Amino acid sequence: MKSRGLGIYAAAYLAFIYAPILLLPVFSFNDNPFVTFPLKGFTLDWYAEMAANAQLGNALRSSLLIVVPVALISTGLGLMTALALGRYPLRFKTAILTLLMVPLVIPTLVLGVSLLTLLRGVMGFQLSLATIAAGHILLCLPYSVVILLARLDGFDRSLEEASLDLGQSGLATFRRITLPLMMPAIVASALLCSVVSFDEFLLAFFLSGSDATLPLYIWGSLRFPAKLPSTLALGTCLLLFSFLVVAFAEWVRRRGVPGSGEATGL
Amino acid sequence: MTNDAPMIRIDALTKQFGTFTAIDKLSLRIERGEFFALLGASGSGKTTLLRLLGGFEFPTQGRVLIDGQDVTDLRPNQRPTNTVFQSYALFPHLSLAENIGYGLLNANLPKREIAARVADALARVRLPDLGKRFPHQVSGGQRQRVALARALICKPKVLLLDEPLGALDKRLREDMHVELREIQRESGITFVLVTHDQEEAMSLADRIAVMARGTILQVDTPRQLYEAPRTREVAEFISNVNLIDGICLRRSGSEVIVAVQGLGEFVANAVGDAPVPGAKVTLAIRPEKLRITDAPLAGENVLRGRLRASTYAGDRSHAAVDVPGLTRPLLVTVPNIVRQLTDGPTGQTDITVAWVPGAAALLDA
Repeated sequence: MKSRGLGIYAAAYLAFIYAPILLLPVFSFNDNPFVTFPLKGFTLDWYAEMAANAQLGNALRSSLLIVVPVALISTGLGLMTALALGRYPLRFKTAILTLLMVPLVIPTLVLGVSLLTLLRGVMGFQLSLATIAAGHILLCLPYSVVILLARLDGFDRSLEEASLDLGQSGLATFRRITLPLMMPAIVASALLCSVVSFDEFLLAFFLSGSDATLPLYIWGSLRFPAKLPSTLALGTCLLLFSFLVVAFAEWVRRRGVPGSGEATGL
Repeated sequence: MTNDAPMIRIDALTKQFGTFTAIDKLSLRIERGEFFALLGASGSGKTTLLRLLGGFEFPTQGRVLIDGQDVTDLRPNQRPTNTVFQSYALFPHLSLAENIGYGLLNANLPKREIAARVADALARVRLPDLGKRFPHQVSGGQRQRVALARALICKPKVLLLDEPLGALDKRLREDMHVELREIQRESGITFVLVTHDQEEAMSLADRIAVMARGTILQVDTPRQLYEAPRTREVAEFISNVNLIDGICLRRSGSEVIVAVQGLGEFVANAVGDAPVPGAKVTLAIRPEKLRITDAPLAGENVLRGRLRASTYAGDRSHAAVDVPGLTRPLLVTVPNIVRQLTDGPTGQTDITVAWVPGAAALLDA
């Protein structure tokens, strides 16, 4: 059969990507504090241990305290930026867009060091969850702008002109036409920013005060072998959660706006 | 303000995009209740002119008056105009009824009044049961009608139509022509239509402005544009035409004798200002006004040539005749008065093409 080789290749490809990730849930149910084969037996102990861990609970709370404002503020700023770039007769558009994308390509390490210097050294802020959030907004803004701008470019500008033509003011047009049509991209942007912020380690590492975010907690607990299985349980929960988020984002995107043609964005 | 003031007055309007001049010192009057067409190739400035009328662009110089009111600096929502967009621009997240009622949102009408007017508008465009559907659930022709109903519900003084029928197939387009004319007559609203399709302009408009390079070449009725174009450019833009350059030899009464180098003398009827003897003139003859014949009548103008090609088009055939001395072949439309089961032989020499003096329009060189 002609496609047999290709089938094997595809299977190997998928295994290469997903096997390491799938080890996580497998060992999280394994009745053995050491992560080794062969598997011993099924247990939910590690999940119980995870749930009982107060430090972990605090870390999760800290992460959520950062994620929600970061997602909202990044998407809000991103929306304003996208509207300015996409709808306003602005000069130097390309230059502005390029500058906005820079945080994507600057090594996060460099960004972390410079933000630390700026926020603490120059401006004299106490490091806290707020400083982490500030760093994350900087990191999320390019994603948000790209998603929202793609959607804005994706729908016919004459829709907004038609609304003006039919007697609505600029503000009413934004509320009645632009915003509803942008909604799938706004949701997508908020979700992506949430994921980026929730998962981010380096900036959080540099900019954290006394409170640890979830990635910081996980990193810290890896130094203690006894905590490893419950970390795997946590990882499994996070994995499941991110699948749900991605599925939801995709559902919103596909549902999109009926008949508005190709939905864009993530 | 009297009622014979024009509905639209455009004074020396100029619109520049950077260094590009899209509209160049253009002046125009459009009368009350007129169905007016802006006709031109793409890039002629016709769409820019429409957008200037709608308030989607603002002029670099000049003024626009609608019904005596200076609207030059007014935004679209402040103008007594509504637009049917080329893409229809129906709001995808609103139902057809909500789309049509959109223009009434600011009117402070009771909900029942709005619903009644929307139902009325839907009935008028013959879509009475489709109000709850969404734009993507109906056909292109139905979307087109909804766009029309939406623009008309505010009872504008001027309705602007930007190539509204471009996306429809030929049959549907012809049906819409009839419907558009009817709606325009019944409503009495001034329509300004942008199109690149000269047939569409001719069958819809009371008057047509032929545009090129941001200016108007000629404003006239469809009949005048077709039968009495003033320039070669207009003659060539409005359908096919044969152009033969010559010199005015003399005049006798309404007849003008034109000498064409190498081909002899031809008689044409002058309308209005006749050229003076010695002036360069161009004979402009539409293909259907030429006939291929073995026996030209007395008083007919005659050219001889060789049949280069013939294209069958059902009710008629298009023949191209090479005439020695003319740079381009003569285009002759031959009505198929007997069944044409095969094309005649091409390459045939000694074809005689004849036309009466009244067939040719005289252009200033």
